[in-house]
Amino acid sequence: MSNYKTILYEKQRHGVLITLNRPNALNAMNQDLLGEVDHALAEAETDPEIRAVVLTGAGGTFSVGEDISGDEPATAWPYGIPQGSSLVYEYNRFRDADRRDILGRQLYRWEYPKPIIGAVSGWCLGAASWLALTCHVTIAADDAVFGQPQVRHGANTDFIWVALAGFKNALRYSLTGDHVDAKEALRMGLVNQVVPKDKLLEECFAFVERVAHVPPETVKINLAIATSGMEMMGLRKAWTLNAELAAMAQLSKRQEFNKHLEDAKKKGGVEAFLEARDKPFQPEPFGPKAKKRK
Amino acid sequence: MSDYKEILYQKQRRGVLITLNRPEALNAITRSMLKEFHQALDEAEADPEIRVIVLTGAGRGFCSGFDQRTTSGRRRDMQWPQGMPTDMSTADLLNYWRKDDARLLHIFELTKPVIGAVRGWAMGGGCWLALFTHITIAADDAVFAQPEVRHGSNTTFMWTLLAGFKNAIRYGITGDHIDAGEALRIGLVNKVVPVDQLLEECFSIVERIAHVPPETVKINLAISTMGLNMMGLRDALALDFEMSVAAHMMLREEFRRPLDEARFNQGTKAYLQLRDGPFQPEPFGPRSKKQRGLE
Repeated sequence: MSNYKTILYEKQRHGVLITLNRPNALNAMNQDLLGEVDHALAEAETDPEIRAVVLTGAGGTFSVGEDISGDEPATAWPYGIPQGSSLVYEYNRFRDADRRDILGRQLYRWEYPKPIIGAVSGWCLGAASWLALTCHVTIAADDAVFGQPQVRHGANTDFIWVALAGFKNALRYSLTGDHVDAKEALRMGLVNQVVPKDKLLEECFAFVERVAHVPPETVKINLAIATSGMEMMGLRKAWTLNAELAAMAQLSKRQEFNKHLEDAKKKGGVEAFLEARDKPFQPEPFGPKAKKRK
Repeated sequence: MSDYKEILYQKQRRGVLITLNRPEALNAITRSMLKEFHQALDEAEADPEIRVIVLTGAGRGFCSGFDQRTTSGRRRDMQWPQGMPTDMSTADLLNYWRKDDARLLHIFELTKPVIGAVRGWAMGGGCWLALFTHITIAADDAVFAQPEVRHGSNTTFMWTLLAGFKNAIRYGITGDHIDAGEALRIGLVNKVVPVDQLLEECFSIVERIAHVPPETVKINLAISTMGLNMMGLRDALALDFEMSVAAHMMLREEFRRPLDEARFNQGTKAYLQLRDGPFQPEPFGPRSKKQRGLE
């Protein structure tokens, strides 16, 4: 077994629990963590004792998405690209990264020959929502909140939202970045089931044990009927276009929408950035606080 | 009939001849010309006397492509190394390039056949217009090419559909010229005829089509065009379109800057010389044909 630093890898009950383990950063996903998830999946794929993978986050939350802490090069305005850089360079960088790191990894998990079960509690935001939603089965704790707030600062959604929630539901949330609670997620088809938070892993591993009663070859074929079928129906094409659009979205920053966010981050860090970005959207229609008010 | 300025619209022999009519600029496409062209297609589609549309160019060429002076966004105040016009954001640029004025699918999905009659140059966007017609007849002096790929622009998947993977890539990544014979060989055109017989050939096809009931023609067009859409052409073109936006925005200083400087300091001729000089002689250009002893 490998020595992982940003995830936990714990075999149990015919499966393995892979835990995103950066609880101090709400399991924000950086390249190290994503690389280790891939590595762990490759390890589990070849281990005949493991019949299914459960993917969760440490500390009661799934993940807040891509790690946006750290210094980014200052933007040259009005061009909306990093100072001293060129559009051709940035464009190539985004497109290559999207194909390799985002679409590449997503397709690897999508086509994975053993079931991957997403166990989601707490925040499940941005790229982490894509990670949870592309799992073959997704079970949510009653405190789960899904959202793509990155669309508020010049980033993109992912077609998996449309594939799962349908055209209108996906657009409702991906145009605004508004939060979606567990119940709304269940209604739209983002998740299979909502369970009390303290039963989440028990429920997932009960499912793993049911899967383990079915011959591995049959499970593999039945997974492929769903996943390859969706690809044949056009999911792969939609994702190919998605990768192009992602690059464009991330490079088309507009001064009047983005500059004040960047200034806030420079001055007050990620917290100030989030405050500036998300305040106009509060209260969130399905956020945990909105629920308490009802 | 509408009052057109940059095209001619001449009904004749059961059809209409639409002529791109800026011969002094080798019929280079402007936004206003495209607007008139699409309006003329709509007018012809709605006119029951017109069974088929023939599309050609005035003077010695079909069309030299998008007019570099009016549609390209090529400005003397490019900001380097950003590779963007000064004081424009990427968002502005993206919006600018995403306007699809060419609407090539309008030709392809029209419910009446469009026949391209190509003589002389069919370059860049002009070549695409020719390719998206349902039937294309070339004069023996026709030359097809996409030289715009040499200065940071893109090809279209329609080349791959018509010419196949290897042929399309051979020409799509170099911008090299293709003469009428090579165009016929790789499937860009249906037939090559002497230049003085070009329109006669096209209108004889128009008259043959006019013997078939309009509804049958419409259905048989759709079996081809909708079938190709279903097979994935529409998907490929949707991606194509995004690629086109990307291609126009991805300008690299060492390739592009000298071209822009030549253009603005010395004019279009110097710009074309700098861009196309390294590629001469063209393997299938009219001059190399003479060099090859074919004439």
